[in-house]
Amino acid sequence: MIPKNLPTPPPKVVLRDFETVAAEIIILSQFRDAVRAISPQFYRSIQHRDEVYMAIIEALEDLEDELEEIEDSMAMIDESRQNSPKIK
Amino acid sequence: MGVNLSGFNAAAAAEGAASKMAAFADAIVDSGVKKAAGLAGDLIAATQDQTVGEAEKPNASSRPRIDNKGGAKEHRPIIKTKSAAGIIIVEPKDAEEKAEQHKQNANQFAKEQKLFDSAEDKERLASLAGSLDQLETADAVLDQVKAKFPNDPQKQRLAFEFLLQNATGDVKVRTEEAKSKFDNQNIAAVRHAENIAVAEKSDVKKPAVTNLDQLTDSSGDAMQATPLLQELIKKYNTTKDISAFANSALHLLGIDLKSSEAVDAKLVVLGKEAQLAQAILAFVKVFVGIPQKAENQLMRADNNKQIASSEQCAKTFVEFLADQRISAEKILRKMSSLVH
Repeated sequence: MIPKNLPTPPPKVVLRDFETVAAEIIILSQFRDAVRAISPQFYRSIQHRDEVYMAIIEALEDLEDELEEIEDSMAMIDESRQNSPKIK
Repeated sequence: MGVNLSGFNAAAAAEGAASKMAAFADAIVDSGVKKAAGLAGDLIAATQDQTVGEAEKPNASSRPRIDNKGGAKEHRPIIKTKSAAGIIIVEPKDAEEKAEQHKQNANQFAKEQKLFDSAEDKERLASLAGSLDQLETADAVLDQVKAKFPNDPQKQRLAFEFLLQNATGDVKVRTEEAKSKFDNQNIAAVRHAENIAVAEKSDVKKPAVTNLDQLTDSSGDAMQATPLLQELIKKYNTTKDISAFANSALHLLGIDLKSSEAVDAKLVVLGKEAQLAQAILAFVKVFVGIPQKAENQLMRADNNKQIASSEQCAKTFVEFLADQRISAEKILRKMSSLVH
Protein backbone atom coordinates (compact mmCIF):
# COMPACT_ATOMS: atom_id res chain seq x y z
CA MET A 1 0.00 0.00 0.00
CA ILE A 2 1.09 3.48 -0.71
CA PRO A 3 0.81 5.64 2.36
CA LYS A 4 -1.18 8.79 1.96
CA ASN A 5 -0.03 12.29 2.86
CA LEU A 6 3.60 11.73 2.01
CA PRO A 7 5.76 14.74 2.80
CA THR A 8 6.54 16.67 -0.37
CA PRO A 9 10.20 16.49 -1.24
CA PRO A 10 12.14 19.77 -1.12
CA PRO A 11 12.30 21.46 -4.54
CA LYS A 12 15.42 20.67 -6.48
CA VAL A 13 17.74 23.58 -6.89
CA VAL A 14 18.60 23.57 -10.55
CA LEU A 15 21.87 25.25 -11.11
CA ARG A 16 22.30 26.93 -14.43
CA ASP A 17 25.50 26.33 -16.25
CA PHE A 18 28.56 28.41 -15.65
CA GLU A 19 28.76 30.01 -19.10
CA THR A 20 25.22 31.33 -19.00
CA VAL A 21 25.68 33.12 -15.71
CA ALA A 22 29.14 34.38 -16.62
CA ALA A 23 27.83 35.83 -19.89
CA GLU A 24 24.97 37.55 -18.08
CA ILE A 25 27.41 39.07 -15.59
CA ILE A 26 29.62 40.39 -18.36
CA ILE A 27 26.72 41.98 -20.24
CA LEU A 28 25.22 43.43 -17.08
CA SER A 29 28.58 44.87 -16.05
CA GLN A 30 28.57 46.80 -19.32
CA PHE A 31 25.09 48.07 -18.52
CA ARG A 32 26.23 49.13 -15.06
CA ASP A 33 29.06 51.19 -16.54
CA ALA A 34 26.72 52.60 -19.20
CA VAL A 35 24.25 53.81 -16.58
CA ARG A 36 26.95 55.90 -15.00
CA ALA A 37 28.15 57.19 -18.33
CA ILE A 38 24.79 58.25 -19.77
CA SER A 39 23.88 61.89 -19.31
CA PRO A 40 21.57 62.53 -16.32
CA GLN A 41 19.10 64.28 -18.61
CA PHE A 42 17.93 60.95 -19.97
CA TYR A 43 16.54 59.97 -16.58
CA ARG A 44 13.36 61.27 -15.06
CA SER A 45 15.34 62.32 -12.02
CA ILE A 46 18.56 61.63 -10.20
CA GLN A 47 16.55 59.23 -8.06
CA HIS A 48 15.45 57.33 -11.17
CA ARG A 49 19.08 56.98 -12.26
CA ASP A 50 20.04 55.72 -8.81
CA GLU A 51 17.17 53.21 -8.89
CA VAL A 52 18.26 51.85 -12.26
CA TYR A 53 21.84 51.67 -11.08
CA MET A 54 20.97 49.97 -7.79
CA ALA A 55 18.67 47.49 -9.54
CA ILE A 56 21.52 46.51 -11.86
CA ILE A 57 23.97 46.24 -8.96
CA GLU A 58 21.51 44.06 -7.04
CA ALA A 59 20.98 41.86 -10.08
CA LEU A 60 24.74 41.58 -10.51
CA GLU A 61 25.16 40.54 -6.87
CA ASP A 62 22.52 37.84 -7.31
CA LEU A 63 24.29 36.57 -10.41
CA GLU A 64 27.65 36.59 -8.64
CA ASP A 65 26.16 34.57 -5.77
CA GLU A 66 24.74 32.15 -8.31
CA LEU A 67 28.10 31.87 -10.04
CA GLU A 68 29.77 31.20 -6.70
CA GLU A 69 27.30 28.42 -5.99
CA ILE A 70 27.99 26.88 -9.37
CA GLU A 71 31.73 27.09 -8.79
CA ASP A 72 31.34 25.47 -5.37
CA SER A 73 29.25 22.65 -6.74
CA MET A 74 31.72 22.15 -9.58
CA ALA A 75 34.57 22.05 -7.07
CA MET A 76 32.67 19.49 -5.00
CA ILE A 77 32.11 17.31 -8.03
CA ASP A 78 35.78 17.52 -8.96
CA GLU A 79 36.78 16.68 -5.42
CA SER A 80 34.48 13.70 -5.24
CA ARG A 81 35.82 12.44 -8.56
CA GLN A 82 39.37 12.72 -7.31
CA ASN A 83 38.55 10.97 -4.04
CA SER A 84 36.56 8.17 -5.61
CA PRO A 85 38.56 4.88 -6.04
CA LYS A 86 39.81 4.45 -9.55
CA ILE A 87 38.38 1.45 -11.35
CA LYS A 88 41.01 -0.51 -13.16
CA MET B 1 3.15 115.69 -39.47
CA GLY B 2 6.23 115.43 -41.53
CA VAL B 3 5.18 113.27 -44.41
CA ASN B 4 7.89 113.10 -46.99
CA LEU B 5 6.48 113.59 -50.43
CA SER B 6 9.69 114.64 -52.10
CA GLY B 7 9.54 111.64 -54.41
CA PHE B 8 6.70 113.30 -56.26
CA ASN B 9 8.74 116.37 -57.05
CA ALA B 10 8.10 116.97 -60.73
CA ALA B 11 4.80 115.25 -61.05
CA ALA B 12 3.27 116.54 -57.87
CA ALA B 13 4.15 120.08 -58.64
CA ALA B 14 1.84 120.06 -61.58
CA GLU B 15 -1.18 122.26 -61.41
CA GLY B 16 -4.43 120.45 -60.68
CA ALA B 17 -2.78 117.72 -58.74
CA ALA B 18 -2.28 119.77 -55.61
CA SER B 19 -5.68 118.98 -54.08
CA LYS B 20 -5.29 115.26 -54.69
CA MET B 21 -1.77 115.47 -53.30
CA ALA B 22 -3.07 117.06 -50.12
CA ALA B 23 -5.79 114.42 -49.82
CA PHE B 24 -3.16 111.76 -50.25
CA ALA B 25 -0.97 113.24 -47.51
CA ASP B 26 -3.98 113.58 -45.20
CA ALA B 27 -4.93 109.99 -45.87
CA ILE B 28 -1.51 108.80 -44.81
CA VAL B 29 -1.72 110.81 -41.64
CA ASP B 30 -5.36 110.18 -40.82
CA SER B 31 -6.33 106.78 -42.11
CA GLY B 32 -3.15 104.96 -42.71
CA VAL B 33 -1.40 103.66 -45.75
CA LYS B 34 -4.31 101.58 -47.06
CA LYS B 35 -6.53 104.50 -47.83
CA ALA B 36 -3.54 106.43 -49.09
CA ALA B 37 -2.65 103.68 -51.49
CA GLY B 38 -6.11 103.93 -53.01
CA LEU B 39 -5.75 107.62 -53.48
CA ALA B 40 -2.26 107.26 -54.84
CA GLY B 41 -3.49 105.77 -58.09
CA ASP B 42 -5.76 108.76 -58.75
CA LEU B 43 -3.05 111.15 -57.74
CA ILE B 44 -0.49 109.61 -60.04
CA ALA B 45 -2.91 109.50 -62.90
CA ALA B 46 -3.72 113.17 -62.34
CA THR B 47 -0.10 114.23 -62.15
CA GLN B 48 0.75 112.24 -65.23
CA ASP B 49 -2.13 113.85 -67.10
CA GLN B 50 -0.70 117.22 -66.18
CA THR B 51 2.98 116.64 -66.63
CA VAL B 52 3.43 114.13 -69.38
CA GLY B 53 1.46 116.19 -71.74
CA GLU B 54 2.10 115.18 -75.27
CA ALA B 55 4.37 112.35 -74.23
CA GLU B 56 3.10 108.85 -74.30
CA LYS B 57 1.11 108.01 -71.18
CA PRO B 58 2.31 104.98 -69.34
CA ASN B 59 -0.19 102.20 -69.29
CA ALA B 60 -1.87 101.01 -66.15
CA SER B 61 0.49 98.17 -65.64
CA SER B 62 3.53 100.37 -65.28
CA ARG B 63 2.39 102.73 -62.60
CA PRO B 64 5.14 103.67 -60.15
CA ARG B 65 5.02 101.88 -56.84
CA ILE B 66 4.47 104.00 -53.76
CA ASP B 67 6.72 103.47 -50.82
CA ASN B 68 5.50 103.80 -47.26
CA LYS B 69 6.65 107.38 -47.04
CA GLY B 70 4.52 108.36 -49.93
CA GLY B 71 7.44 108.64 -52.31
CA ALA B 72 7.45 107.02 -55.71
CA LYS B 73 9.81 104.15 -56.39
CA GLU B 74 11.12 103.13 -59.75
CA HIS B 75 8.57 102.09 -62.37
CA ARG B 76 7.87 98.41 -62.20
CA PRO B 77 5.05 96.53 -63.84
CA ILE B 78 2.39 95.44 -61.36
CA ILE B 79 1.83 91.72 -61.32
CA LYS B 80 -1.54 91.37 -62.88
CA THR B 81 -2.35 88.14 -61.17
CA LYS B 82 -2.28 89.77 -57.74
CA SER B 83 -5.20 91.63 -56.33
CA ALA B 84 -4.83 94.67 -54.12
CA ALA B 85 -4.89 92.41 -51.06
CA GLY B 86 -2.03 90.36 -52.47
CA ILE B 87 -4.12 87.32 -53.32
CA ILE B 88 -3.14 85.71 -56.57
CA ILE B 89 -5.98 85.64 -59.04
CA VAL B 90 -5.59 82.68 -61.29
CA GLU B 91 -7.22 82.45 -64.66
CA PRO B 92 -9.99 79.82 -64.74
CA LYS B 93 -8.06 77.56 -67.10
CA ASP B 94 -4.95 77.71 -64.92
CA ALA B 95 -7.05 77.08 -61.84
CA GLU B 96 -8.37 73.85 -63.32
CA GLU B 97 -4.90 72.70 -64.27
CA LYS B 98 -3.56 73.59 -60.86
CA ALA B 99 -6.38 71.79 -59.08
CA GLU B 100 -5.74 68.71 -61.18
CA GLN B 101 -2.03 68.91 -60.41
CA HIS B 102 -2.71 69.23 -56.68
CA LYS B 103 -5.01 66.23 -56.90
CA GLN B 104 -2.36 64.12 -58.58
CA ASN B 105 0.29 65.22 -56.10
CA ALA B 106 -2.01 64.42 -53.20
CA ASN B 107 -2.72 60.95 -54.61
CA GLN B 108 0.97 60.29 -55.09
CA PHE B 109 1.77 61.47 -51.57
CA ALA B 110 -1.05 59.38 -50.13
CA LYS B 111 0.41 56.34 -51.87
CA GLU B 112 3.76 56.96 -50.21
CA GLN B 113 2.29 57.72 -46.81
CA LYS B 114 -0.15 55.05 -45.82
CA LEU B 115 -1.71 57.37 -43.30
CA PHE B 116 -3.78 59.13 -45.98
CA ASP B 117 -5.63 56.12 -47.30
CA SER B 118 -9.12 57.50 -47.45
CA ALA B 119 -10.44 59.49 -50.41
CA GLU B 120 -11.52 62.19 -48.00
CA ASP B 121 -7.97 62.65 -46.75
CA LYS B 122 -6.64 62.87 -50.29
CA GLU B 123 -9.24 65.47 -51.12
CA ARG B 124 -8.32 67.46 -48.03
CA LEU B 125 -4.66 67.35 -48.98
CA ALA B 126 -5.40 68.56 -52.50
CA SER B 127 -7.64 71.37 -51.30
CA LEU B 128 -5.03 72.35 -48.73
CA ALA B 129 -2.43 72.66 -51.45
CA GLY B 130 -4.90 74.63 -53.58
CA SER B 131 -5.62 77.11 -50.83
CA LEU B 132 -2.00 77.61 -49.85
CA ASP B 133 -1.39 80.49 -52.28
CA GLN B 134 -4.19 82.45 -50.69
CA LEU B 135 -2.91 82.13 -47.14
CA GLU B 136 -0.86 85.20 -46.47
CA THR B 137 0.72 84.38 -43.13
CA ALA B 138 2.36 81.41 -41.47
CA ASP B 139 -0.35 81.46 -38.80
CA ALA B 140 -3.02 81.17 -41.45
CA VAL B 141 -1.22 78.18 -42.96
CA LEU B 142 -0.91 76.56 -39.54
CA ASP B 143 -4.60 77.14 -38.77
CA GLN B 144 -5.64 75.76 -42.12
CA VAL B 145 -3.61 72.57 -41.70
CA LYS B 146 -5.02 72.08 -38.22
CA ALA B 147 -8.53 72.68 -39.48
CA LYS B 148 -8.15 70.12 -42.26
CA PHE B 149 -6.87 67.41 -39.94
CA PRO B 150 -8.22 68.26 -36.50
CA ASN B 151 -6.78 66.48 -33.46
CA ASP B 152 -4.41 64.42 -35.54
CA PRO B 153 -0.86 65.73 -35.13
CA GLN B 154 0.60 62.95 -37.22
CA LYS B 155 -1.54 63.79 -40.23
CA GLN B 156 -0.91 67.47 -39.64
CA ARG B 157 2.82 66.85 -39.67
CA LEU B 158 2.63 64.83 -42.88
CA ALA B 159 0.38 67.47 -44.42
CA PHE B 160 3.13 70.00 -43.80
CA GLU B 161 5.60 67.71 -45.51
CA PHE B 162 3.30 67.44 -48.48
CA LEU B 163 2.87 71.20 -48.68
CA LEU B 164 6.60 71.78 -48.43
CA GLN B 165 7.24 69.34 -51.25
CA ASN B 166 4.94 71.27 -53.56
CA ALA B 167 5.41 74.87 -52.43
CA THR B 168 7.88 77.32 -53.89
CA GLY B 169 9.06 80.85 -53.20
CA ASP B 170 7.26 82.94 -50.61
CA VAL B 171 4.62 80.28 -50.11
CA LYS B 172 7.32 77.80 -49.14
CA VAL B 173 8.85 80.28 -46.72
CA ARG B 174 5.47 80.80 -45.06
CA THR B 175 4.84 77.07 -44.93
CA GLU B 176 8.25 76.43 -43.39
CA GLU B 177 7.55 79.07 -40.79
CA ALA B 178 4.18 77.46 -40.03
CA LYS B 179 5.82 74.03 -39.78
CA SER B 180 8.38 75.44 -37.38
CA LYS B 181 5.57 76.86 -35.22
CA PHE B 182 3.78 73.54 -35.36
CA ASP B 183 6.94 71.72 -34.22
CA ASN B 184 7.45 74.14 -31.36
CA GLN B 185 3.87 73.66 -30.21
CA ASN B 186 4.37 69.91 -30.24
CA ILE B 187 7.60 70.15 -28.27
CA ALA B 188 5.62 72.04 -25.66
CA ALA B 189 3.11 69.19 -25.71
CA VAL B 190 5.95 66.72 -25.23
CA ARG B 191 7.22 68.61 -22.21
CA HIS B 192 3.71 68.78 -20.83
CA ALA B 193 3.23 65.02 -21.23
CA GLU B 194 6.60 64.48 -19.61
CA ASN B 195 5.68 66.61 -16.60
CA ILE B 196 2.45 64.69 -16.19
CA ALA B 197 4.37 61.43 -16.37
CA VAL B 198 6.73 62.60 -13.64
CA ALA B 199 3.83 63.78 -11.50
CA GLU B 200 2.00 60.48 -11.83
CA LYS B 201 4.74 58.25 -10.59
CA SER B 202 2.34 55.59 -9.46
CA ASP B 203 1.24 54.86 -13.02
CA VAL B 204 3.04 52.01 -14.69
CA LYS B 205 3.83 53.14 -18.20
CA LYS B 206 4.32 50.95 -21.19
CA PRO B 207 8.05 50.86 -21.87
CA ALA B 208 9.17 52.91 -24.82
CA VAL B 209 10.94 49.91 -26.21
CA THR B 210 7.67 48.73 -27.76
CA ASN B 211 7.98 51.57 -30.20
CA LEU B 212 11.59 50.80 -30.80
CA ASP B 213 10.72 47.24 -31.73
CA GLN B 214 8.22 48.38 -34.31
CA LEU B 215 10.56 50.88 -35.81
CA THR B 216 13.57 48.67 -36.11
CA ASP B 217 11.41 46.27 -38.08
CA SER B 218 11.06 48.87 -40.79
CA SER B 219 12.83 48.76 -44.11
CA GLY B 220 16.58 48.63 -44.44
CA ASP B 221 16.65 52.20 -45.71
CA ALA B 222 15.13 53.43 -42.51
CA MET B 223 18.00 51.92 -40.60
CA GLN B 224 20.65 53.83 -42.51
CA ALA B 225 22.40 56.35 -40.34
CA THR B 226 22.76 59.90 -41.56
CA PRO B 227 26.25 60.99 -42.60
CA LEU B 228 26.58 62.88 -39.34
CA LEU B 229 25.73 59.80 -37.34
CA GLN B 230 28.09 57.75 -39.44
CA GLU B 231 30.80 60.20 -38.52
CA LEU B 232 29.92 59.78 -34.88
CA ILE B 233 30.04 56.03 -35.26
CA LYS B 234 33.50 56.24 -36.80
CA LYS B 235 34.65 58.52 -34.07
CA TYR B 236 33.37 56.49 -31.16
CA ASN B 237 33.63 52.95 -32.35
CA THR B 238 34.64 51.56 -29.00
CA THR B 239 32.72 50.95 -25.84
CA LYS B 240 35.25 53.05 -23.96
CA ASP B 241 33.69 56.32 -24.97
CA ILE B 242 30.12 55.27 -24.42
CA SER B 243 29.18 58.52 -22.75
CA ALA B 244 30.34 60.75 -25.56
CA PHE B 245 28.79 58.59 -28.23
CA ALA B 246 25.43 57.91 -26.66
CA ASN B 247 25.00 61.44 -25.48
CA SER B 248 26.01 62.92 -28.81
CA ALA B 249 23.71 60.63 -30.75
CA LEU B 250 20.75 61.18 -28.47
CA HIS B 251 21.30 64.92 -28.25
CA LEU B 252 21.56 65.03 -32.00
CA LEU B 253 18.28 63.23 -32.43
CA GLY B 254 16.58 64.96 -29.53
CA ILE B 255 15.48 61.62 -28.16
CA ASP B 256 14.24 61.73 -24.63
CA LEU B 257 13.80 58.43 -22.85
CA LYS B 258 12.14 59.77 -19.76
CA SER B 259 8.75 58.37 -20.62
CA SER B 260 7.07 56.40 -23.35
CA GLU B 261 4.63 59.26 -23.96
CA ALA B 262 7.52 61.61 -24.48
CA VAL B 263 9.06 59.24 -26.99
CA ASP B 264 5.72 58.87 -28.81
CA ALA B 265 5.23 62.60 -28.98
CA LYS B 266 8.81 63.11 -30.00
CA LEU B 267 8.26 60.80 -32.92
CA VAL B 268 5.54 63.06 -34.19
CA VAL B 269 7.75 66.09 -33.79
CA LEU B 270 10.74 64.50 -35.41
CA GLY B 271 8.62 63.58 -38.36
CA LYS B 272 10.81 60.71 -39.41
CA GLU B 273 10.52 57.37 -37.74
CA ALA B 274 13.88 56.51 -39.24
CA GLN B 275 15.48 58.88 -36.80
CA LEU B 276 14.49 56.73 -33.89
CA ALA B 277 15.87 53.75 -35.73
CA GLN B 278 19.06 55.75 -36.02
CA ALA B 279 19.07 56.25 -32.28
CA ILE B 280 18.89 52.49 -31.95
CA LEU B 281 21.76 52.19 -34.38
CA ALA B 282 23.72 54.55 -32.20
CA PHE B 283 23.04 52.39 -29.18
CA VAL B 284 23.92 49.27 -31.13
CA LYS B 285 27.24 50.82 -31.99
CA VAL B 286 27.76 51.68 -28.37
CA PHE B 287 27.23 48.08 -27.43
CA VAL B 288 29.17 46.58 -30.30
CA GLY B 289 31.45 43.95 -28.93
CA ILE B 290 29.54 43.09 -25.77
CA PRO B 291 28.41 39.64 -26.94
CA GLN B 292 31.85 39.05 -28.41
CA LYS B 293 33.44 40.18 -25.18
CA ALA B 294 31.17 37.89 -23.21
CA GLU B 295 32.04 34.95 -25.40
CA ASN B 296 35.73 35.70 -25.15
CA GLN B 297 35.59 35.90 -21.41
CA LEU B 298 33.79 32.63 -20.98
CA MET B 299 36.15 30.17 -19.51
CA ARG B 300 35.40 27.13 -21.52
CA ALA B 301 36.45 26.81 -25.10
CA ASP B 302 33.64 24.40 -25.86
CA ASN B 303 30.81 26.79 -24.91
CA ASN B 304 27.94 26.85 -27.32
CA LYS B 305 25.97 29.59 -25.65
CA GLN B 306 24.06 31.90 -27.86
CA ILE B 307 24.47 35.43 -26.68
CA ALA B 308 22.07 38.12 -27.84
CA SER B 309 23.10 40.44 -30.63
CA SER B 310 24.45 43.89 -29.91
CA GLU B 311 21.14 45.28 -31.06
CA GLN B 312 19.23 43.22 -28.52
CA CYS B 313 21.67 44.28 -25.80
CA ALA B 314 21.16 47.92 -26.75
CA LYS B 315 17.38 47.59 -26.76
CA THR B 316 17.41 45.89 -23.40
CA PHE B 317 19.49 48.70 -22.02
CA VAL B 318 17.09 51.30 -23.41
CA GLU B 319 14.25 49.37 -21.83
CA PHE B 320 15.96 49.51 -18.46
CA LEU B 321 16.36 53.28 -18.82
CA ALA B 322 12.72 53.77 -19.76
CA ASP B 323 11.32 51.49 -17.08
CA GLN B 324 9.71 53.41 -14.28
CA ARG B 325 9.78 50.58 -11.79
CA ILE B 326 12.95 48.76 -12.50
CA SER B 327 13.98 45.97 -10.14
CA ALA B 328 16.66 43.31 -9.87
CA GLU B 329 14.03 40.64 -10.57
CA LYS B 330 12.97 42.30 -13.78
CA ILE B 331 16.56 42.69 -14.84
CA LEU B 332 17.36 39.06 -14.13
CA ARG B 333 14.29 37.90 -16.04
CA LYS B 334 15.32 40.00 -18.97
CA MET B 335 18.94 38.94 -18.80
CA SER B 336 18.00 35.31 -19.09
CA SER B 337 16.54 36.11 -22.50
CA LEU B 338 19.85 37.52 -23.65
CA VAL B 339 21.80 34.34 -23.13
CA HIS B 340 20.47 30.98 -24.22
